[in-house]
Amino acid sequence: MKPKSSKKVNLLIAGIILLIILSVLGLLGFARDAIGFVSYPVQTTYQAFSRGINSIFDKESTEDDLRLRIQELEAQLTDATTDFVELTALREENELLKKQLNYIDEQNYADVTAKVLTYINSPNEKYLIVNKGLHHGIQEGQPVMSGDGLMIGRTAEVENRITKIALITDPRSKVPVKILGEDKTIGIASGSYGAILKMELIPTQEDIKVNDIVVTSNLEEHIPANLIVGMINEINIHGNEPFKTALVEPMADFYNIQIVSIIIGYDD
Amino acid sequence: MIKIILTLIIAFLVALLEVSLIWSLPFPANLISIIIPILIFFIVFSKSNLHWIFIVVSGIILDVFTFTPIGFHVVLFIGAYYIGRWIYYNYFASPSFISVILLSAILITLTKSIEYFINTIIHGGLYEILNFEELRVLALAIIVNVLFMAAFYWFFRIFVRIFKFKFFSYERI
Repeated sequence: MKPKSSKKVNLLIAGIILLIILSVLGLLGFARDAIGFVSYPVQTTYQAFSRGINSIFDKESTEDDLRLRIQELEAQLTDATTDFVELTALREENELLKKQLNYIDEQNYADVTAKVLTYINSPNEKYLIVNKGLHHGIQEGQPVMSGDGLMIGRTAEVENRITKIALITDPRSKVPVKILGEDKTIGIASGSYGAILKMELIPTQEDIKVNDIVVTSNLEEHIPANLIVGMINEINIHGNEPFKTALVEPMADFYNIQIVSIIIGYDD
Repeated sequence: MIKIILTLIIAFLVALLEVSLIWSLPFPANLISIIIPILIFFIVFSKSNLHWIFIVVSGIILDVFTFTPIGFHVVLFIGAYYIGRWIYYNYFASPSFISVILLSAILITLTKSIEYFINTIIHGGLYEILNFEELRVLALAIIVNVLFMAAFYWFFRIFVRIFKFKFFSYERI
């Protein structure tokens, strides 16, 4: 006769194999939703901590900046005595939502607003997880924005109530782009292993300059034109090659994104 | 029963801590894994069966938020636990600093390599296996985690000494 603990282990292994099979067949969407829902308050708290830690690493270094920062902090300290933590958080959220909604209204985009659950920033994978999914009309490949028309990425994997958003800086991300004010696509902005985008396949005859604003072109399905991607900060020409490359600095501050808008439809 | 519920809650919070806080930290701090060090402490210091609850709960949470099939990380952690246990009882058998560090280096290399291999196949195909940039990150992840494990070991030692925490066997440290 088998010992009792061995039976339990066998039962557990059988259960895990069953879980994997059900998951591969796509029958465990409800479990993902439930875990996403239950973990939401904890994740919000952790994310707030994470933003706090990141802001420490993101300090300004020049003297002027530090002086300015001290003034800001003094002002904040005076204000903070009258504010409750919860009230401040609600106010911030409200402002963000208003900002997002104004931009969306101006551009005639149909969108879904979602809250960020987590931001994964490893060199080989950069993505956000948000708390909306298939049930809210989100599909794979839709563009995601933050703030006033800053494109931050595209929906990569969608479950019923959570979505993975691959950021434009992800090494696997590729977005057709153009220079603001121009009509034709001039290159592909690809993610890299750092925080900068690489713009490739730019014909040598194209007139581009440092500090030009790079926006999406309408070459790709689901992605409307003129969403701001970033700003050119370096141009490289390689000998007699027909194409040149440029480095583009994204304008969005990925660490501090709390709310995003996923564009689920738009007028051409 | 209380221990089971407590382990369940701790596993839930630890897994979410890894997903929502640690992975959002600046590079290379975001390469730290806290589940593997806890697993090593289960191997080295605990004789209870509570590791099962910890493995299943933390594995499922990680699967949900990495969008891998539910069960993948559970299997990975079970494998790591048994390999680690076999290595520990056959080659070390004493909870010294060196044995804990070597064990963590082995298990972190093993789990990170499998995760890297599976992710590469899912996202880019086999031809991307020899991506030197990603291999460099993998190597860095191993170094960062071993350093973290060293810090974690001393913190744990002090913690147990101060609070005489009964969950793990105090005498074995």
